[in-house]
Amino acid sequence: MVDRETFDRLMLDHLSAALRFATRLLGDPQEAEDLVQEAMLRAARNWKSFRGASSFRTWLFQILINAFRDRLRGKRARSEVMDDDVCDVRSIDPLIATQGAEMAEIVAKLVSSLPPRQREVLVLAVYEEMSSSDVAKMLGMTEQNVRTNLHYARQRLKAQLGPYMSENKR
Amino acid sequence: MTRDREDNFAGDASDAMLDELLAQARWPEPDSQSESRLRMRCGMIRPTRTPVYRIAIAVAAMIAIVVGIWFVETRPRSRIAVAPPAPPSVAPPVTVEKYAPRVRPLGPVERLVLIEDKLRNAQRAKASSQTVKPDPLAWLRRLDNAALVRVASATNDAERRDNAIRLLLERNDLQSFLYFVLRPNTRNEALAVLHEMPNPPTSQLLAELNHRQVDYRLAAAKALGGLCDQKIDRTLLLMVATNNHRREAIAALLSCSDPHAKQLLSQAQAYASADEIRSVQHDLNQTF
Repeated sequence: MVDRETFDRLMLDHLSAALRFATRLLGDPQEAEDLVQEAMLRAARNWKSFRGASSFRTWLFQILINAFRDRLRGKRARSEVMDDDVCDVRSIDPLIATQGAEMAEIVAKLVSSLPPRQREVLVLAVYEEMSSSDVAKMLGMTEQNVRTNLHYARQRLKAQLGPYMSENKR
Repeated sequence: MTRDREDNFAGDASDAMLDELLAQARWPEPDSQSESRLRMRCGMIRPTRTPVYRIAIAVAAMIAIVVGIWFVETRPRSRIAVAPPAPPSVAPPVTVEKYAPRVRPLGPVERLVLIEDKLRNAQRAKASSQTVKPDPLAWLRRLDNAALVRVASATNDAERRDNAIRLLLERNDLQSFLYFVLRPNTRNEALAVLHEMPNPPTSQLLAELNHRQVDYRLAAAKALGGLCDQKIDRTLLLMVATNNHRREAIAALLSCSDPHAKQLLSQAQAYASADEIRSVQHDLNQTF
């Protein structure tokens, strides 16, 4: 009974953070809800493997990332989404961007359309404010690899947001 | 101002601008009921960890079985009451004189033989009581791997922890073993247990160099470094040469104190740059 209570308490404490993280990864709140639900089920199934060596949040986010990768793999198998499913924002006119759609939403959309690995690294490093060593541990990669992915993600975003940035500079 | 410096300044400015934009990013808000739906589903999910009451029931059942067996084994055999048969209507039996062997007192040689027999029996009994020792691992053997991990993590008894880790290794649960290698307070003991094993699981450790988590890969490399014999060293060098988990193989060679490994490490420099070896050493220092 104690286990069940602990699990419920920890899960409810971290539910909002998990939902926010999933939304940033997927860009769609409904898909994010599905992903968090899937992660909750996996967490309950693998509750035995939680040894308390890492924080519950880290453990839950790892499960979320695995569920996210499986989901992308499934989509790729059904060839609904290409790996580099990035919308071409070079055509976004800065004026339209500021007047019509909210720039903040466009940036969010661009982040959520980055290639999966770059997206994971950028969201964890920038929005979850994790150090590169923590990101490396969570994603099972080297710190060097994390830094490289972060660099490429930023380069890509700069290229896509270039027109707006140059407009701002002027 | 040179062109490089101009580029640098441009890069800094665009980085700052990008950071600003990233900070502004706003994702669509989840549906207001989304979180409450998830909270409700969370309440319906049941974690699969064995609840305490189930363990209590299992223990109670075991005690009941043991008590039952003890009762069956030790209760006095009840005699079945049988009605005495009717006395036969035959003539009274003929009384036969009972045979009684004639016993003469023991001679001196016979006494000596008997004394020697007694001494020999006493020695045998003593020897057998010395050889049959209780198996210290007997109760640990009854536990599953997850329970062994809990015992080894929680106990303050070093011998018990060593035994639990030894059993995990015997059962080829390398994942749990590497978990203890990664923990600073159990690392040396875990590596010592591996070192003492007559047949260490070398090939499984080599396979763990492909673990999905980098710290587990480094732990496997560390463990292999502790075993290092010439055969393993050659395999590791081959892995470096063929670019098959090169970093982990270098880490294993770096962890090895064998002079032969040092020699192979210098050979490995033909396939891996000094920078890479330094970087692997840095990773090892950070992890351990």
